[in-house]
Amino acid sequence: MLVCTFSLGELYLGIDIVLVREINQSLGYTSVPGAPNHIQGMLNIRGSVITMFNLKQRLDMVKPGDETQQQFDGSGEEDESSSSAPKKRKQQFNIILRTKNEVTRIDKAIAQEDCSWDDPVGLVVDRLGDVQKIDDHTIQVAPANLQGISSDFVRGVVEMDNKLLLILNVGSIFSENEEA
Amino acid sequence: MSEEDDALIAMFVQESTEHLDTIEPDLLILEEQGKDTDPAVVNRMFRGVHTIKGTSGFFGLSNISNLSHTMENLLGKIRENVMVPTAEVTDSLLAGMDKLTQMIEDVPNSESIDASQEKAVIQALLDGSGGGDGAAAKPKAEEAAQEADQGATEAEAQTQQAEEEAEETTQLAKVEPDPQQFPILDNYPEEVQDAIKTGKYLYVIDFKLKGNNSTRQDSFKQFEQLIGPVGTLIATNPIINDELNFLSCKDDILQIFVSTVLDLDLVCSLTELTEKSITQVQIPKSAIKKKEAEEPTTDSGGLVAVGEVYDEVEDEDDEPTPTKRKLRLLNEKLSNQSSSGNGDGIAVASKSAAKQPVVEETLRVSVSLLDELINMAGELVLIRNQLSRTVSTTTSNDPQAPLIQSLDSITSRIQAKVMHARMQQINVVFSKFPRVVRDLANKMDKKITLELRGGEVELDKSVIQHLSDPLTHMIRNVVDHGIELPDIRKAAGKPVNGQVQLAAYHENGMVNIAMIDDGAGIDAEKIKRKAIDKGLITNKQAENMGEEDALALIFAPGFSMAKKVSDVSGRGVGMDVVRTNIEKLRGSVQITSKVGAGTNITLKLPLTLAIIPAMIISVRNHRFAIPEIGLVKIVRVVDSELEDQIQMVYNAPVLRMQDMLLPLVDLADVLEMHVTWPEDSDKTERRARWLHRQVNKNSKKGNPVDGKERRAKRNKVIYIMVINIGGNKFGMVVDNVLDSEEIVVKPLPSYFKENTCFSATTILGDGSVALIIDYAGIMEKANINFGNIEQSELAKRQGEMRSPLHEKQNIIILETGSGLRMGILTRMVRRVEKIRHKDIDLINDNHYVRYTDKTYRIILPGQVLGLEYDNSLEEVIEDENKELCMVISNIPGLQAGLVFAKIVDTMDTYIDLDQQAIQAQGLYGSARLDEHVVLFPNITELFNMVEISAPPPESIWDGAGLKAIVVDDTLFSRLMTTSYLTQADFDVTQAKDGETALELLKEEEFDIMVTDLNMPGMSGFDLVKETRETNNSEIPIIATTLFSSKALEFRCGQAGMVGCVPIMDKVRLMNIVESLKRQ
Repeated sequence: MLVCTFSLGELYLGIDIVLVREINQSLGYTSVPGAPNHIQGMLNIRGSVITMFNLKQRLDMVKPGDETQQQFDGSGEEDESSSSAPKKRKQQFNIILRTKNEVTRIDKAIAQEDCSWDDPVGLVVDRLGDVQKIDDHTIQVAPANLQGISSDFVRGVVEMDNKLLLILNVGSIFSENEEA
Repeated sequence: MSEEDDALIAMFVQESTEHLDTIEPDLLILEEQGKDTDPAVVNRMFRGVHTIKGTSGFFGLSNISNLSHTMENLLGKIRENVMVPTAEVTDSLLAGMDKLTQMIEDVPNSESIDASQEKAVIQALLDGSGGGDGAAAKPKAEEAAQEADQGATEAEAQTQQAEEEAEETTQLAKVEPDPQQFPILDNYPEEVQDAIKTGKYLYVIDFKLKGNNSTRQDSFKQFEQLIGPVGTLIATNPIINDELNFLSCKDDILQIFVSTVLDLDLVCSLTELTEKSITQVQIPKSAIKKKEAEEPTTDSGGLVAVGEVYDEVEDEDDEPTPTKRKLRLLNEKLSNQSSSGNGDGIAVASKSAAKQPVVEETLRVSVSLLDELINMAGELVLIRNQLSRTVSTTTSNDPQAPLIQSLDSITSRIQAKVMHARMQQINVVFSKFPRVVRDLANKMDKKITLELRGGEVELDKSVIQHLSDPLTHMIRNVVDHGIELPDIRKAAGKPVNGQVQLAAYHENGMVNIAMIDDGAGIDAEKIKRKAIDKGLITNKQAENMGEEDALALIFAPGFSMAKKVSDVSGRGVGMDVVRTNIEKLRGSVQITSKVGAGTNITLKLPLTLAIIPAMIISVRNHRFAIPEIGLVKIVRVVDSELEDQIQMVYNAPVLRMQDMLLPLVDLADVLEMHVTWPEDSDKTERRARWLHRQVNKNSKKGNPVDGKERRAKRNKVIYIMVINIGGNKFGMVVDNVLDSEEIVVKPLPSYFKENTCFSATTILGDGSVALIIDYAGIMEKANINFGNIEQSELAKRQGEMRSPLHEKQNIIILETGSGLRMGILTRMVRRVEKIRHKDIDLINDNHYVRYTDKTYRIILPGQVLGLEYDNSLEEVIEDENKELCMVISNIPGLQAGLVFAKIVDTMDTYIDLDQQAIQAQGLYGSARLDEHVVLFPNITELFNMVEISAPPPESIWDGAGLKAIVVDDTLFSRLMTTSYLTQADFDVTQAKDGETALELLKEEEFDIMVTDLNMPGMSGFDLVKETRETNNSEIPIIATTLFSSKALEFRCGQAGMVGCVPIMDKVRLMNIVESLKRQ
């Protein structure tokens, strides 16, 4: 399968490209007061309101005490060192996902399995990677001692160029029964 | 047929076609899956056929109605699992459906289409199903089918024969007019010439006469009126004159010779005669030639044109599609109206009109395409905005500026039009109901006035589409079951004309459609019993079911209140359809009903994609949209004037506005937008922050402020949005008001559904998303307590400690014989009846009134209270012509009424009850309303005083030896609640507010507490919390509230209360008390 890859801090992540509708760089999020931290806000993409999830927050990768939620330093390293300096808003990327209906039109099985969302949603990530072709049989079960990410969110891992690519379980990220 | 009818029939055709379109695939599913078919599919087919049956019934299309009725019966059997959907069954249904389609496509001729075969097959299956075995039914069905087949063939043969004959005669007429035959064209040269000139056709119509001479004359007159506007009646055979005896016509047929612009099939539909009885008279060539000779100026082209028209007409007759016919009918009418003298011109014009509909053409476009268009138009607007910004910032006299300008305007127009494409006025649906109601009312011998309001409310097309079915069902149901027959209405003292009101209006970002009638109402108990009979609920469920839930049962599938299956409604499809359809639209249905007074069904629909006017405001640099509905005004407050206009009452900021104090809510506080605010702070503290700003300013006031600073301060302003929600006003403090925009409402992503502060989202002009504020949610979250403000305000203004009944009460004000005014809470009254002298009987010195089938003891309240000595009942009722009012209370089982001279008024008002001024046993107190002193009698006590008492249901509520505490700041309701408990022998202590109650609770132990939720100072919830800290920590607590709701009940449950009942709802209160006792 084809996987759209991106990185988040030190993690190298990927999601099935069938689920991805488009990627852009807009930053005009409308934050929602009272919403959980991992929801970055809403975005208007051609007239439809997309709920944007901050993947880093969602995967609990934000260290406690880092009050300013969504801004992280560019280098990808965890960034407490520069907390005193005024942070420059880093350009982040929006991965807009297809809606369940759109996925159903392409592949019913994937829609059934992965699409836990009904409303249009998207992910905010740090850096984009390439689109990688992956043989299904090379995908392994995530090791139990996976660092930096809860295994609930990981579908499997693939070794690539000495790096570990984590295939995300997208469904669990958007599922509404929170804080698994 | 009028144009209105045409429009209605067109709607029927469209609607039915839509239904048929879904029935066909569903039937195929049924065929494939047999008895395992999803019941929803069967239900859907059933409803579709049902709707067709119902609607065709209105139009008197008996053929369609009959066939669909038979099909419905069969589907009903399948639905009830009485019949197995075998291949024969589905075959017969499919055949029936095909026939239905055929008939509906050709509605005007549907009556002449033979559907007996299909009906017979289905009927045979139905009859066979009595044996319970599909296989057994089969041969029978076939037999029947064959019989029917034969019958049909015979019928066909006959028809054919008749047609042939008819053709022959037509041909005869066409070939050469028989001199013996009527009419002889030569006898009417002028008319014939005129017909040629104006392109009219000539017909001989065989008009069948029935009945005696005068009815014949009438029917002929009717015919004249019909043909009058569209043509000329030239002659008749036999010739009609004053002495003509209509009975003398040969074979009872009057031949009528007419000239008209209508072509053959139009004449048929106009006169409602078959084509057989109408013969077109061909204009002989000689006549045309004559015309040519007479008018040498006309070239031969004109002749050809005329000839062509005829050809055209004949050609088209071969393919009489109904739509074409409809269009042509309209066209003809239009062109006829606009026709002027020139002969050839008209001929050509009418020809072209027939080809080219004048009616605006419509095209079906998928909604998703429209959505895409809307989104793209929005995108276009954004690009336009960006473009115009760059252009205007570069140079002022850019040569591109005009281009940008036209792009600008055209973009706006595109957007507006595209938006509009999806919106429709609700009138589209409403407009068909007056007719529906009229016909139906006539059919059922009822008199009904339908009032439509809010037809201009716009709703999304898809919503509108799905409203037609549920609303039709609702209307049918109300006419069928809701409104009583005129006699019954009269007897109940209601106007003979039943009132049905259909109103659409915006509320809280939803569109509400309310159907209110003043009919019989729905008896919740009856509903329950029926539901038990039908096996929808168990006895136990019924016992625990509240009235609202019971009423909601009418929406359950398979529930029908109709006593018999009728053409109109019944079978329990109606309300079931209503709910499923409305829920599909993500709306909800609410029903309230009062037996004898009527029913109110309200559909709440989300206005997805509806456009609403809104103000864009900003708070802490976040923009929000607030709907203008409910926005009363915007108050701009300059910082330097803040302290003059804003005051603190009980630590809450209020705005002094005219004579009232408006509670203020800081939007930023409610939305918790203060990042720096400590997390553990509670709401009052947060609101206090706003106060803090205030106080700082006040303290600064003491210091001399130099001019510069003052000027700088003056620039700082805040805006207060004054919002009215359900009669309560509050002010929402925002930083800035940016714009007023028509916004497109988009649904709130499900991730934010739990946040009550927002109702939806929208996209602003610059492309960013904004949230739409939900007033009710804000109010709830800010914990505004309206009683609070009014209480303190009134106390301040009046400076005296009377106990204001600050909750509005609906009261009836009545006047006694001596002009004494009394007020009775509407909720205490079952009904008010007009009685007359002759209704009153004197038995054993007591007066009784016979009303309906019951006898009521009547008393004069003034007399019982000892306030009217000189006015005995006899005197009051002596006047034979005088009408009196009898108020029957809703105390269960009490057959007694209070008699008044007349009703003065009913009003929703705040009652400021004064217990001191007028004191009497059986009197709560008095109050001043509209410059009159109004007495408030305690009805229960009044009856007790004359020793009328209800069959004692009270006995089951025995609270002897138990101590209760009643907490309510409202004296009136406190007294009521107390009296309920006292009657049940409770030892009741009253407390006028939470603080007092708490003191008492600390000192004494009580067995039960009943508390109002809405109180100044300490609210009911606070009291509950505090109570847990006292010796009475285990005390069961019942909450009373003016407006009970599920949400509130839930909240009460969460707070650990055992129940939440509406104020003065004795039965519910005492039931809870009783259930506590049992435990």
